[in-house]
Amino acid sequence: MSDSERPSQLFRNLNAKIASIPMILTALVVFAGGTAWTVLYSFTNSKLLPRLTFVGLDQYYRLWATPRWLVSIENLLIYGAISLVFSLVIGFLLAALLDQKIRFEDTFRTIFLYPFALSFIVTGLVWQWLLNPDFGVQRVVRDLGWTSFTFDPLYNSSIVIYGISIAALWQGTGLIMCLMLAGLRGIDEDIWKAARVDGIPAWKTYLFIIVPMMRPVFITTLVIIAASIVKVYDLVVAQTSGGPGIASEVPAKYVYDYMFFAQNLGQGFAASTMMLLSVVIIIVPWAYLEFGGRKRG
Amino acid sequence: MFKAADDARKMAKNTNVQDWNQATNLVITGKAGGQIMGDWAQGEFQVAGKTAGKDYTCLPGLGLNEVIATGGDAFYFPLLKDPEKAKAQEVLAETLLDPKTQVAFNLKKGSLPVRGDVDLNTANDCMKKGLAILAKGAVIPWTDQLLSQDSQKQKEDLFSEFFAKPDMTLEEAQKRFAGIIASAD
Repeated sequence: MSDSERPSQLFRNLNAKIASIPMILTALVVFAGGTAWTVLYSFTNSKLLPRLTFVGLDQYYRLWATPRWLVSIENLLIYGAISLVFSLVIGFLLAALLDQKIRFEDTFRTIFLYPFALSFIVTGLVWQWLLNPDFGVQRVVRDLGWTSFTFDPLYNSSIVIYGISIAALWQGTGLIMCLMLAGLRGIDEDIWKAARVDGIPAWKTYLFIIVPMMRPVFITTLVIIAASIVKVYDLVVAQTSGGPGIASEVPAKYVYDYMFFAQNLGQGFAASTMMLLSVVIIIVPWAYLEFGGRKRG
Repeated sequence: MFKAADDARKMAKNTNVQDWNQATNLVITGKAGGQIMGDWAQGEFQVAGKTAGKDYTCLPGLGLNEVIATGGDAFYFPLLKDPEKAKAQEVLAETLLDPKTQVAFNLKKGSLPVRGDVDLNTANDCMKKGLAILAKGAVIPWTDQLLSQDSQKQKEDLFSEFFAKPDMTLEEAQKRFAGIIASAD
Protein backbone atom coordinates (compact mmCIF):
# COMPACT_ATOMS: atom_id res chain seq x y z
CA MET A 1 0.00 0.00 0.00
CA SER A 2 2.84 2.41 0.78
CA ASP A 3 4.36 1.69 -2.67
CA SER A 4 1.29 2.82 -4.52
CA GLU A 5 0.99 5.94 -2.33
CA ARG A 6 4.50 7.29 -2.82
CA PRO A 7 4.44 7.98 -6.61
CA SER A 8 1.07 9.76 -6.30
CA GLN A 9 2.61 11.84 -3.51
CA LEU A 10 5.28 13.13 -5.89
CA PHE A 11 2.86 13.90 -8.70
CA ARG A 12 0.27 15.51 -6.46
CA ASN A 13 -0.04 19.21 -7.13
CA LEU A 14 2.14 18.75 -10.23
CA ASN A 15 0.98 22.06 -11.69
CA ALA A 16 2.06 23.93 -8.60
CA LYS A 17 5.41 22.17 -8.57
CA ILE A 18 6.09 22.99 -12.22
CA ALA A 19 5.05 26.59 -11.68
CA SER A 20 7.51 26.94 -8.84
CA ILE A 21 10.48 25.62 -10.88
CA PRO A 22 11.62 29.12 -12.06
CA MET A 23 11.69 30.36 -8.46
CA ILE A 24 13.56 27.25 -7.28
CA LEU A 25 16.11 27.68 -10.08
CA THR A 26 16.53 31.37 -9.24
CA ALA A 27 17.00 30.57 -5.56
CA LEU A 28 19.52 27.83 -6.28
CA VAL A 29 21.51 29.47 -9.04
CA VAL A 30 21.37 33.14 -8.12
CA PHE A 31 21.22 33.12 -4.33
CA ALA A 32 22.99 29.92 -3.32
CA GLY A 33 25.27 29.78 -6.36
CA GLY A 34 26.15 33.48 -6.28
CA THR A 35 26.88 33.32 -2.56
CA ALA A 36 29.13 30.29 -2.97
CA TRP A 37 30.97 31.97 -5.86
CA THR A 38 31.53 35.14 -3.81
CA VAL A 39 32.85 33.19 -0.82
CA LEU A 40 35.15 31.20 -3.11
CA TYR A 41 36.56 34.30 -4.82
CA SER A 42 37.11 36.07 -1.51
CA PHE A 43 40.10 33.76 -1.10
CA THR A 44 41.67 35.09 -4.32
CA ASN A 45 43.43 38.33 -5.14
CA SER A 46 40.98 39.45 -7.84
CA LYS A 47 41.40 43.10 -8.76
CA LEU A 48 39.11 44.59 -11.39
CA LEU A 49 38.06 41.23 -12.83
CA PRO A 50 37.73 37.94 -10.97
CA ARG A 51 40.61 35.51 -11.30
CA LEU A 52 41.45 32.27 -9.56
CA THR A 53 44.82 33.05 -7.92
CA PHE A 54 44.33 31.81 -4.38
CA VAL A 55 45.95 33.80 -1.59
CA GLY A 56 44.39 32.05 1.40
CA LEU A 57 43.19 34.34 4.15
CA ASP A 58 45.22 37.40 2.99
CA GLN A 59 42.13 39.45 2.08
CA TYR A 60 40.69 38.75 5.53
CA TYR A 61 43.91 39.72 7.32
CA ARG A 62 43.94 42.96 5.39
CA LEU A 63 40.23 43.51 6.06
CA TRP A 64 40.52 43.23 9.80
CA ALA A 65 43.59 45.45 9.86
CA THR A 66 41.80 48.25 8.00
CA PRO A 67 40.58 50.99 10.38
CA ARG A 68 37.75 51.84 8.00
CA TRP A 69 36.31 48.32 8.29
CA LEU A 70 36.52 48.38 12.08
CA VAL A 71 34.71 51.72 12.15
CA SER A 72 32.06 50.27 9.80
CA ILE A 73 31.40 47.29 12.06
CA GLU A 74 31.17 49.50 15.15
CA ASN A 75 28.75 51.83 13.36
CA LEU A 76 26.62 48.90 12.23
CA LEU A 77 26.36 47.57 15.79
CA ILE A 78 25.36 50.96 17.19
CA TYR A 79 22.94 51.66 14.34
CA GLY A 80 21.53 48.13 14.61
CA ALA A 81 20.94 48.33 18.35
CA ILE A 82 19.25 51.72 18.11
CA SER A 83 17.14 50.77 15.09
CA LEU A 84 15.97 47.53 16.65
CA VAL A 85 15.13 48.78 20.11
CA PHE A 86 13.55 52.08 19.15
CA SER A 87 11.68 50.72 16.10
CA LEU A 88 10.04 48.03 18.21
CA VAL A 89 9.30 50.25 21.20
CA ILE A 90 8.03 53.26 19.27
CA GLY A 91 6.21 51.08 16.76
CA PHE A 92 4.44 49.17 19.50
CA LEU A 93 3.60 52.35 21.45
CA LEU A 94 2.12 54.01 18.39
CA ALA A 95 0.15 50.88 17.53
CA ALA A 96 -1.19 50.60 21.09
CA LEU A 97 -2.22 54.26 21.00
CA LEU A 98 -3.87 53.90 17.60
CA ASP A 99 -5.74 50.83 18.80
CA GLN A 100 -7.78 52.87 21.28
CA LYS A 101 -10.61 53.32 18.74
CA ILE A 102 -9.83 57.00 18.21
CA ARG A 103 -11.65 59.10 15.65
CA PHE A 104 -9.18 59.88 12.91
CA GLU A 105 -7.36 56.57 13.01
CA ASP A 106 -7.10 56.28 9.24
CA THR A 107 -5.53 59.73 8.93
CA PHE A 108 -2.99 59.05 11.66
CA ARG A 109 -2.12 55.71 10.18
CA THR A 110 -1.53 57.30 6.78
CA ILE A 111 0.64 60.04 8.27
CA PHE A 112 2.80 57.56 10.17
CA LEU A 113 3.14 55.21 7.23
CA TYR A 114 3.93 57.91 4.65
CA PRO A 115 7.70 58.14 5.27
CA PHE A 116 7.99 54.46 4.42
CA ALA A 117 6.98 55.27 0.85
CA LEU A 118 10.14 57.36 0.42
CA SER A 119 13.32 55.78 -0.79
CA PHE A 120 16.36 55.87 1.48
CA ILE A 121 18.07 58.32 -0.88
CA VAL A 122 15.26 60.86 -0.49
CA THR A 123 15.13 60.24 3.27
CA GLY A 124 18.88 60.75 3.53
CA LEU A 125 18.83 63.95 1.52
CA VAL A 126 15.88 65.42 3.42
CA TRP A 127 17.48 64.70 6.77
CA GLN A 128 20.82 66.01 5.56
CA TRP A 129 19.15 69.36 4.89
CA LEU A 130 17.16 69.27 8.15
CA LEU A 131 20.25 68.56 10.22
CA ASN A 132 22.43 71.05 8.32
CA PRO A 133 23.64 73.64 10.83
CA ASP A 134 23.46 76.52 8.34
CA PHE A 135 20.01 75.87 6.89
CA GLY A 136 18.20 73.34 9.06
CA VAL A 137 16.95 72.86 12.60
CA GLN A 138 19.89 74.65 14.23
CA ARG A 139 19.37 77.76 12.13
CA VAL A 140 15.59 77.84 12.77
CA VAL A 141 15.98 77.53 16.54
CA ARG A 142 18.72 80.16 16.53
CA ASP A 143 16.54 82.53 14.55
CA LEU A 144 13.78 82.02 17.10
CA GLY A 145 16.07 83.43 19.78
CA TRP A 146 18.16 80.67 21.37
CA THR A 147 21.38 81.85 19.75
CA SER A 148 23.69 79.34 21.38
CA PHE A 149 21.68 76.28 20.38
CA THR A 150 23.83 73.68 18.62
CA PHE A 151 22.45 70.65 16.87
CA ASP A 152 24.65 69.42 14.03
CA PRO A 153 25.13 65.67 14.57
CA LEU A 154 26.16 65.15 10.97
CA TYR A 155 29.41 67.12 11.35
CA ASN A 156 30.47 65.65 14.67
CA SER A 157 32.43 62.43 14.23
CA SER A 158 31.33 60.85 17.48
CA ILE A 159 27.56 61.24 17.06
CA VAL A 160 27.02 61.21 13.31
CA ILE A 161 25.75 57.63 13.45
CA TYR A 162 22.93 58.81 15.71
CA GLY A 163 21.98 61.41 13.11
CA ILE A 164 21.69 58.62 10.57
CA SER A 165 19.64 56.53 13.02
CA ILE A 166 17.13 59.37 13.37
CA ALA A 167 16.50 59.36 9.63
CA ALA A 168 16.24 55.57 9.52
CA LEU A 169 13.81 55.45 12.46
CA TRP A 170 11.65 58.16 10.88
CA GLN A 171 11.43 56.11 7.71
CA GLY A 172 10.94 52.64 9.12
CA THR A 173 8.83 52.99 12.26
CA GLY A 174 5.63 53.44 10.26
CA LEU A 175 5.77 49.94 8.84
CA ILE A 176 6.49 48.39 12.23
CA MET A 177 3.55 50.30 13.68
CA CYS A 178 1.22 48.93 11.01
CA LEU A 179 2.37 45.35 11.57
CA MET A 180 1.96 45.71 15.32
CA LEU A 181 -1.49 47.23 14.84
CA ALA A 182 -2.54 44.24 12.73
CA GLY A 183 -1.24 41.95 15.46
CA LEU A 184 -3.08 43.87 18.16
CA ARG A 185 -6.31 43.72 16.19
CA GLY A 186 -5.93 39.95 16.06
CA ILE A 187 -6.19 39.68 19.84
CA ASP A 188 -9.54 38.40 21.00
CA GLU A 189 -11.84 40.98 22.67
CA ASP A 190 -12.44 38.55 25.53
CA ILE A 191 -8.83 38.75 26.64
CA TRP A 192 -9.17 42.50 27.17
CA LYS A 193 -12.42 42.04 29.02
CA ALA A 194 -10.99 39.30 31.24
CA ALA A 195 -7.99 41.45 32.09
CA ARG A 196 -10.24 44.36 33.00
CA VAL A 197 -12.44 42.11 35.17
CA ASP A 198 -9.34 40.85 36.96
CA GLY A 199 -8.40 44.45 37.69
CA ILE A 200 -5.00 44.33 35.97
CA PRO A 201 -3.71 47.83 35.08
CA ALA A 202 -3.50 48.56 31.35
CA TRP A 203 0.30 48.70 31.12
CA LYS A 204 0.63 45.32 32.83
CA THR A 205 -1.93 43.84 30.45
CA TYR A 206 0.10 45.03 27.50
CA LEU A 207 3.43 43.95 28.88
CA PHE A 208 2.66 40.55 30.35
CA ILE A 209 -0.35 39.31 28.38
CA ILE A 210 -0.55 40.98 24.97
CA VAL A 211 3.13 41.08 24.02
CA PRO A 212 3.71 37.32 24.62
CA MET A 213 0.56 36.61 22.59
CA MET A 214 1.94 38.67 19.70
CA ARG A 215 5.13 36.64 19.45
CA PRO A 216 4.78 35.79 15.72
CA VAL A 217 4.29 39.47 14.87
CA PHE A 218 7.37 40.40 16.86
CA ILE A 219 9.40 37.78 15.05
CA THR A 220 8.22 39.04 11.65
CA THR A 221 9.08 42.63 12.49
CA LEU A 222 12.42 41.52 13.91
CA VAL A 223 13.33 39.87 10.63
CA ILE A 224 12.27 42.91 8.61
CA ILE A 225 14.21 45.33 10.82
CA ALA A 226 17.29 43.10 10.85
CA ALA A 227 17.29 42.85 7.06
CA SER A 228 17.14 46.61 6.65
CA ILE A 229 19.89 47.12 9.25
CA VAL A 230 22.43 44.89 7.57
CA LYS A 231 21.92 46.39 4.14
CA VAL A 232 22.01 50.08 5.12
CA TYR A 233 23.96 51.78 2.35
CA ASP A 234 21.97 54.32 0.36
CA LEU A 235 20.94 56.20 3.49
CA VAL A 236 24.57 56.75 4.47
CA VAL A 237 25.57 57.72 0.93
CA ALA A 238 22.75 60.25 0.64
CA GLN A 239 23.07 61.72 4.10
CA THR A 240 26.78 61.94 4.82
CA SER A 241 28.78 60.06 2.12
CA GLY A 242 30.58 58.26 4.89
CA GLY A 243 30.44 61.03 7.42
CA PRO A 244 33.06 63.54 8.52
CA GLY A 245 36.12 61.61 7.39
CA ILE A 246 35.12 57.98 7.76
CA ALA A 247 32.96 58.34 10.88
CA SER A 248 29.72 57.03 9.40
CA GLU A 249 31.01 54.23 7.22
CA VAL A 250 29.00 51.00 7.10
CA PRO A 251 29.99 47.53 5.86
CA ALA A 252 27.79 47.62 2.75
CA LYS A 253 29.46 50.87 1.71
CA TYR A 254 32.88 49.33 2.27
CA VAL A 255 31.95 46.41 0.01
CA TYR A 256 30.70 48.69 -2.76
CA ASP A 257 33.58 51.19 -2.57
CA TYR A 258 36.26 48.52 -2.61
CA MET A 259 34.65 46.48 -5.36
CA PHE A 260 34.14 49.37 -7.76
CA PHE A 261 36.13 52.45 -6.80
CA ALA A 262 39.22 50.70 -5.54
CA GLN A 263 38.76 47.99 -8.21
CA ASN A 264 39.66 45.32 -5.70
CA LEU A 265 37.02 42.60 -5.99
CA GLY A 266 38.86 40.33 -3.56
CA GLN A 267 38.54 42.82 -0.67
CA GLY A 268 34.88 43.51 -1.47
CA PHE A 269 34.12 39.78 -1.52
CA ALA A 270 35.92 39.24 1.79
CA ALA A 271 33.89 42.04 3.38
CA SER A 272 30.58 40.72 2.05
CA THR A 273 31.46 37.19 3.22
CA MET A 274 31.99 38.63 6.69
CA MET A 275 28.55 40.26 6.49
CA LEU A 276 27.05 36.92 5.47
CA LEU A 277 28.87 35.20 8.32
CA SER A 278 27.47 37.59 10.91
CA VAL A 279 23.91 36.97 9.65
CA VAL A 280 24.45 33.18 9.63
CA ILE A 281 25.86 33.21 13.16
CA ILE A 282 22.63 34.76 14.40
CA ILE A 283 20.16 32.84 12.22
CA VAL A 284 21.49 29.29 12.64
CA PRO A 285 21.17 28.98 16.45
CA TRP A 286 17.80 30.72 16.33
CA ALA A 287 16.51 28.40 13.61
CA TYR A 288 17.69 25.41 15.62
CA LEU A 289 15.84 26.67 18.70
CA GLU A 290 12.68 27.46 16.73
CA PHE A 291 12.38 24.41 14.52
CA GLY A 292 14.57 21.86 16.28
CA GLY A 293 12.40 22.23 19.40
CA ARG A 294 9.20 21.50 17.55
CA LYS A 295 10.50 18.30 15.98
CA ARG A 296 11.40 16.92 19.36
CA GLY A 297 8.02 17.91 20.77
CA MET B 1 54.91 66.38 4.79
CA PHE B 2 52.47 65.39 7.46
CA LYS B 3 53.34 68.48 9.48
CA ALA B 4 51.96 70.54 6.56
CA ALA B 5 48.87 68.32 6.46
CA ASP B 6 48.42 68.84 10.21
CA ASP B 7 48.59 72.63 9.75
CA ALA B 8 46.03 72.39 6.96
CA ARG B 9 43.86 70.27 9.22
CA LYS B 10 43.93 72.90 11.97
CA MET B 11 43.03 75.62 9.47
CA ALA B 12 40.12 73.64 8.01
CA LYS B 13 38.37 72.91 11.31
CA ASN B 14 34.60 73.46 11.50
CA THR B 15 34.15 74.16 7.83
CA ASN B 16 31.31 71.61 7.53
CA VAL B 17 31.52 70.86 3.81
CA GLN B 18 31.13 67.53 2.11
CA ASP B 19 31.99 68.14 -1.57
CA TRP B 20 34.94 69.94 -3.16
CA ASN B 21 32.73 72.47 -4.97
CA GLN B 22 31.13 73.47 -1.67
CA ALA B 23 34.62 74.30 -0.42
CA THR B 24 35.21 76.35 -3.60
CA ASN B 25 31.99 78.15 -2.78
CA LEU B 26 33.42 79.10 0.61
CA VAL B 27 36.34 80.80 -1.15
CA ILE B 28 34.04 82.52 -3.68
CA THR B 29 31.81 83.95 -0.95
CA GLY B 30 34.80 85.07 1.08
CA LYS B 31 34.33 82.67 4.01
CA ALA B 32 37.58 80.82 3.32
CA GLY B 33 41.00 82.18 2.51
CA GLY B 34 42.08 79.53 0.06
CA GLN B 35 41.54 76.04 -1.26
CA ILE B 36 43.99 73.36 -2.29
CA MET B 37 42.44 72.02 -5.47
CA GLY B 38 43.23 71.39 -9.11
CA ASP B 39 42.72 74.15 -11.66
CA TRP B 40 39.34 72.73 -12.68
CA ALA B 41 37.96 74.68 -9.72
CA GLN B 42 38.18 77.72 -12.00
CA GLY B 43 34.98 76.50 -13.65
CA GLU B 44 33.13 77.33 -10.42
CA PHE B 45 34.73 80.78 -10.30
CA GLN B 46 33.67 81.38 -13.93
CA VAL B 47 30.06 80.53 -13.19
CA ALA B 48 30.13 82.92 -10.21
CA GLY B 49 31.44 85.66 -12.50
CA LYS B 50 34.86 86.04 -10.88
CA THR B 51 37.99 86.98 -12.87
CA ALA B 52 41.40 85.41 -12.40
CA GLY B 53 44.04 87.88 -11.25
CA LYS B 54 41.40 90.32 -9.94
CA ASP B 55 38.99 88.41 -7.68
CA TYR B 56 41.15 85.33 -7.16
CA THR B 57 44.51 83.91 -8.19
CA CYS B 58 46.37 80.60 -8.39
CA LEU B 59 49.53 79.54 -6.57
CA PRO B 60 51.08 76.59 -8.42
CA GLY B 61 52.80 74.32 -5.89
CA LEU B 62 51.70 76.75 -3.15
CA GLY B 63 54.31 79.16 -4.44
CA LEU B 64 57.16 77.05 -3.06
CA ASN B 65 57.90 74.42 -5.73
CA GLU B 66 56.54 75.44 -9.08
CA VAL B 67 55.68 72.01 -10.48
CA ILE B 68 52.45 70.85 -12.06
CA ALA B 69 50.93 67.37 -11.78
CA THR B 70 49.36 66.49 -15.09
CA GLY B 71 46.35 64.34 -15.74
CA GLY B 72 43.30 64.74 -17.87
CA ASP B 73 40.53 63.31 -19.95
CA ALA B 74 41.04 61.52 -23.24
CA PHE B 75 39.00 61.09 -26.38
CA TYR B 76 39.22 57.69 -28.06
CA PHE B 77 38.27 57.44 -31.73
CA PRO B 78 37.53 53.87 -32.85
CA LEU B 79 38.50 53.00 -36.44
CA LEU B 80 35.30 53.28 -38.48
CA LYS B 81 34.54 51.64 -41.80
CA ASP B 82 32.31 54.46 -43.07
CA PRO B 83 34.65 57.03 -44.73
CA GLU B 84 32.22 59.91 -44.07
CA LYS B 85 32.13 59.18 -40.34
CA ALA B 86 35.92 58.76 -40.29
CA LYS B 87 36.20 62.20 -41.92
CA ALA B 88 33.85 63.61 -39.25
CA GLN B 89 36.13 62.16 -36.56
CA GLU B 90 39.08 64.03 -38.07
CA VAL B 91 37.12 67.28 -38.15
CA LEU B 92 36.21 66.82 -34.47
CA ALA B 93 39.84 66.13 -33.55
CA GLU B 94 40.96 69.22 -35.49
CA THR B 95 38.38 71.41 -33.76
CA LEU B 96 39.33 70.11 -30.34
CA LEU B 97 43.00 70.89 -30.82
CA ASP B 98 42.53 74.27 -32.48
CA PRO B 99 44.34 76.93 -30.37
CA LYS B 100 41.27 79.18 -30.21
CA THR B 101 39.02 76.30 -29.08
CA GLN B 102 41.57 75.24 -26.50
CA VAL B 103 41.76 78.69 -24.92
CA ALA B 104 37.99 79.28 -25.01
CA PHE B 105 37.17 75.87 -23.53
CA ASN B 106 39.83 75.99 -20.85
CA LEU B 107 38.89 79.50 -19.81
CA LYS B 108 35.31 78.33 -19.19
CA LYS B 109 36.15 75.05 -17.48
CA GLY B 110 39.43 75.89 -15.83
CA SER B 111 42.42 73.91 -17.01
CA LEU B 112 45.45 74.22 -19.27
CA PRO B 113 45.39 74.00 -23.07
CA VAL B 114 47.16 70.93 -24.42
CA ARG B 115 49.24 72.99 -26.81
CA GLY B 116 51.71 75.69 -25.87
CA ASP B 117 51.29 77.97 -28.88
CA VAL B 118 47.97 79.52 -27.84
CA ASP B 119 47.43 83.27 -27.94
CA LEU B 120 48.57 84.37 -24.47
CA ASN B 121 46.59 87.61 -24.64
CA THR B 122 43.34 85.69 -24.41
CA ALA B 123 44.54 83.44 -21.60
CA ASN B 124 43.71 84.35 -18.01
CA ASP B 125 46.10 84.87 -15.12
CA CYS B 126 46.17 81.23 -13.90
CA MET B 127 46.49 79.83 -17.39
CA LYS B 128 49.50 82.05 -18.13
CA LYS B 129 51.28 80.79 -14.99
CA GLY B 130 50.46 77.18 -15.87
CA LEU B 131 51.63 77.49 -19.46
CA ALA B 132 54.92 79.02 -18.30
CA ILE B 133 55.54 76.01 -16.02
CA LEU B 134 54.61 73.57 -18.79
CA ALA B 135 57.04 75.27 -21.11
CA LYS B 136 59.83 74.83 -18.54
CA GLY B 137 59.03 71.11 -18.42
CA ALA B 138 58.39 71.08 -14.64
CA VAL B 139 55.72 68.38 -14.74
CA ILE B 140 55.08 65.12 -12.91
CA PRO B 141 52.36 62.59 -13.73
CA TRP B 142 49.23 62.56 -11.59
CA THR B 143 49.01 59.86 -8.92
CA ASP B 144 46.33 58.07 -11.00
CA GLN B 145 49.10 57.04 -13.35
CA LEU B 146 51.47 56.02 -10.56
CA LEU B 147 49.37 54.06 -8.06
CA SER B 148 46.68 51.43 -8.55
CA GLN B 149 43.08 52.40 -7.80
CA ASP B 150 43.20 50.25 -4.69
CA SER B 151 46.16 52.13 -3.20
CA GLN B 152 44.55 55.45 -4.25
CA LYS B 153 41.41 54.56 -2.33
CA GLN B 154 43.35 53.51 0.75
CA LYS B 155 45.28 56.79 0.59
CA GLU B 156 42.00 58.75 0.27
CA ASP B 157 40.51 56.89 3.24
CA LEU B 158 43.59 57.68 5.32
CA PHE B 159 43.48 61.39 4.52
CA SER B 160 39.69 61.60 5.03
CA GLU B 161 40.17 60.07 8.44
CA PHE B 162 43.18 62.29 9.23
CA PHE B 163 41.39 65.53 8.39
CA ALA B 164 38.26 64.61 10.31
CA LYS B 165 39.91 63.25 13.47
CA PRO B 166 41.85 66.03 15.23
CA ASP B 167 43.34 63.57 17.72
CA MET B 168 45.04 61.41 15.09
CA THR B 169 48.76 62.04 15.46
CA LEU B 170 51.26 62.78 12.70
CA GLU B 171 53.33 59.71 13.49
CA GLU B 172 50.34 57.38 13.24
CA ALA B 173 49.28 58.85 9.91
CA GLN B 174 52.83 58.70 8.59
CA LYS B 175 53.21 55.05 9.60
CA ARG B 176 49.98 54.09 7.87
CA PHE B 177 50.87 56.07 4.77
CA ALA B 178 54.24 54.31 4.59
CA GLY B 179 52.41 50.99 4.95
CA ILE B 180 50.07 51.79 2.06
CA ILE B 181 52.91 52.77 -0.24
CA ALA B 182 54.96 49.75 0.79
CA SER B 183 52.16 47.35 -0.10
CA ALA B 184 51.09 49.30 -3.19
CA ASP B 185 51.03 47.52 -6.51
